[in-house]
Amino acid sequence: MWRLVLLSVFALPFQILWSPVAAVEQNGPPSPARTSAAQPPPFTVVARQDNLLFYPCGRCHEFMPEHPLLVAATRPPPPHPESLNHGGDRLWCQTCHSLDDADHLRTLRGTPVPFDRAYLVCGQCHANRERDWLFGGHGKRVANWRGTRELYLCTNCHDPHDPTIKPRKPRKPPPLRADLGPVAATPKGPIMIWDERVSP
Amino acid sequence: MTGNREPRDAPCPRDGSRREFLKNLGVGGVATIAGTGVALAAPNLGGDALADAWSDFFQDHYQRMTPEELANALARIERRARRRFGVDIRCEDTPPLDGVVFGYALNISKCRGYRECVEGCVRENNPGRDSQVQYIRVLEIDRGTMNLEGSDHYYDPETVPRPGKFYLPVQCMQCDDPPCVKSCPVEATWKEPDGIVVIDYDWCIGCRYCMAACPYWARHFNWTDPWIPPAEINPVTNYLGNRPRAKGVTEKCHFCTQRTRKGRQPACQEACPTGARIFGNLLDPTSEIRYVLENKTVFRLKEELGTDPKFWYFTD
Ligand code: HEC
Ligand code: HEC
Ligand code: HEC
Ligand code: HEC
Repeated sequence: MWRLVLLSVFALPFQILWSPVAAVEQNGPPSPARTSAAQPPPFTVVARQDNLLFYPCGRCHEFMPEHPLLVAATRPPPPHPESLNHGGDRLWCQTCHSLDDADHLRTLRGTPVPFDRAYLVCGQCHANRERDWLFGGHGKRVANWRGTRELYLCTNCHDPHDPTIKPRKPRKPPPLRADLGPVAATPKGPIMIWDERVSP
Repeated sequence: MTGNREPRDAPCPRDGSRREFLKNLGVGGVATIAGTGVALAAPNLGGDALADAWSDFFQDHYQRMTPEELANALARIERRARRRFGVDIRCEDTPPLDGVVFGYALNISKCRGYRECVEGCVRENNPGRDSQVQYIRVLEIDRGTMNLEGSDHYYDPETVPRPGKFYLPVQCMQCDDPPCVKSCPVEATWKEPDGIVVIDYDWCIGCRYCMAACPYWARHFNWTDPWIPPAEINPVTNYLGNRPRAKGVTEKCHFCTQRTRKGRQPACQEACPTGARIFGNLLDPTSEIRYVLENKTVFRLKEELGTDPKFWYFTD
C-alpha cells in the first residue's frame, strides 16, 4: 500500500507535466486557433525515448561544459547527427536540445519537453501539421480505428535532423495478364492492344 | 458487437430463384440415386470431400442461411482449405457493427508510390498469387493532370516518387449506390449495413457483369484456380471477406471485414508507412475520417457518375 501512495505522490507532478492542457499553458498563451477549435480526441503515443541509443543523455552532458566552440573542436560521436539538414541554416542543435538538461528537448521559450512529446517542439514551427496530427489528418494511427488512440510520433517518420523523407525502391509491380504486355502510357492515353494491331 | 443485419428469416424479394433452378438441375442429374425428398441430405460416401461437394451444391444464399446452415458452411470452408492447402484456417461470420458506416480518405500529397498497401493487402486477403488479382492499383500519373487513361500502374523505377509524377491508389470505393450490385443477376453481391459492398463467393456465378458495371476497375475475376503458397495463407478469415476463393468468381476489396469489424485498421492502412491512408467511422464526429472530410478539400473519383463512393482523396 505505501508503495502505491509513494508512486502516486511521485507521479503527480509528472501527470501535470504530461497533460495536454498543462503543456499548452507552458508554451505560452494558447493561440486563438487552438481555443476556438474542438479539443483533439485523447491519444497515447508509441514511445521512442527508451529506444534512443544515447538516452539518458545526462550521463555525459551533465559533466560537459556548455561551450558552442567545442562543437567545432570535438566532433560529437554518433548517433549525434553529423550535420543538421533542417530548415536551411535557421536552426541549430540548441533550438531543440538544451545542454543544461540534455534529457529533455526544449521549446523556443526554454520549457523542457520529454522526447516522447516531441510534437510540442515541432508544432511551434509546424503548427498546421501538428494540428492535423492531433486530429488525425497527418501521421498515422496504430492498429485500431476505435478504442485507445495510439499515434506515431513525428520523429517516427521524420528524422528531426534531416526531416525530408527520402525516395526509395517501390515494391514489385503487379503481375502481367498472360499474353498482354504492360500498357504503355502516353500523353494521349495508353496504347491499347487494338492500336498495335491496326496501325501498320 | 451486435449485428444489425436483417433477421435471417426475413423473406427475400427474389427468394430462391437461383437456388430452385440449381436444385432442380441437381435433382434431375442425380435422380437415379436420390429422390427429391433426400436431395438435401448429404450422402455419407467417400469421406468429407464428397459430402462437402454435395452440401456446397445446395448451400443457400448467405442472407437466407439459418445459423445452423451457416455454421456448416463455415466448417466446410475450413475443411476445404485444409484439403487444398494443408492449412488449418478459421472462418468466421463477423457481423457489421451497430452505428458504424466505414469511410476511407487518402492523402495524395503523402502517397509516394511505394506499393506497401498492395503488399499488405495481398498478405492479408488470400488472393491467388498466380491469378493476377490485386485489389489495389497504384496509378502513376503526370503531375498537373488527372488523366486516368494515361496512368501507369506497372511503374518500376529505382526509386519513387519519380519527379513530375504523383501516385493515386485505386481500390473498391464501396459506393453507396453501387452499380455492381444492381448489375448482379443473382444478388450475389450487396451492400451491408456498415456500407461495405460484399460478395457471397459461393453464390457468384461468374458472369462478370459487375466487373463491366464498376467504373473503378475494382472487381477482379479468378480466371484460374487461385493458388496460395501454404506458408502465406492468412488463417484468420471471414465469410464475407478474405476466405479462400474458387475459380470462376469475382472478388474485390471489402475494407478487410475480418479486421475492421473487430475494430482494427484495414491491412492497407497498417502497411502504409506514410500515413496517407485514413480510415474510420463516418458516423462518429470525433473520428479522423470526419476531421479530414470537414477540414480538407476532398474529392472523389468520377463523382459525376453518381455512385456516391465512400472513398475520398485529398491533398494538404
Ligand atoms: C557518450 C557520451 C554522450 C552521450 C550519452 C550523449 N552525448 Fe551529446 N555530445 C557528446 C560529446 C562528446 C559532444 C561534443 C562536445 C560538445 O559539443 O560539448 C556532444 C555534443 C552534443 C550536442 C551539440 C552540443 C552543442 O554545443 O551544440 C548536442 C545537442 C548533444 N550532444 C545532444 C545529446 C543528446 C540529445 C543526447 C541524448 C540522446 C546526447 N547528446 C548524449 C557526448 C555524448
Ligand atoms: C528540430 C529540432 C532538433 C534539432 C535542431 C536537433 N535535434 Fe537532436 N533530436 C531532436 C528530437 C525530436 C530527437 C528525438 C529523436 C527520436 O525520437 O528519434 C533528437 C534526438 C537526438 C539525439 C539522440 C539520437 C539517438 O538515436 O539516440 C542526439 C544525439 C541529438 N538529437 C543530437 C543533436 C545534435 C548534435 C544536433 C545539432 C547538430 C541536434 N540534435 C539538432 C530534435 C532536434
Ligand atoms: C524552430 C522551428 C522549427 C522546429 C522546432 C522544427 N522545424 Fe521542421 N522546419 C523548419 C523550417 C524553417 C523548415 C524549412 C521550411 C522550408 O524550407 O520551406 C522545416 C522543414 C521541415 C520539414 C520539411 C522538409 C521538406 O521536405 O521540405 C519537415 C518534414 C519538418 N521540418 C519536420 C519537423 C519535425 C518532425 C520537427 C520536430 C522534431 C520539426 N520539423 C521542428 C523549422 C522548424
Ligand atoms: C506516419 C508518418 C508521419 C508522421 C507520424 C508525421 N509525418 Fe509529417 N509527413 C509524412 C509524409 C509521408 C510527408 C510527405 C513527405 C513528402 O512527400 O515529401 C510528411 C510531410 C511533412 C512536412 C512537410 C510538408 C511539405 O510541404 O513538404 C512537415 C513540415 C511535416 N510532415 C511535419 C510533421 C510533424 C510536425 C509531425 C508530428 C506532429 C509529423 N509530420 C508526423 C509522414 C509523417
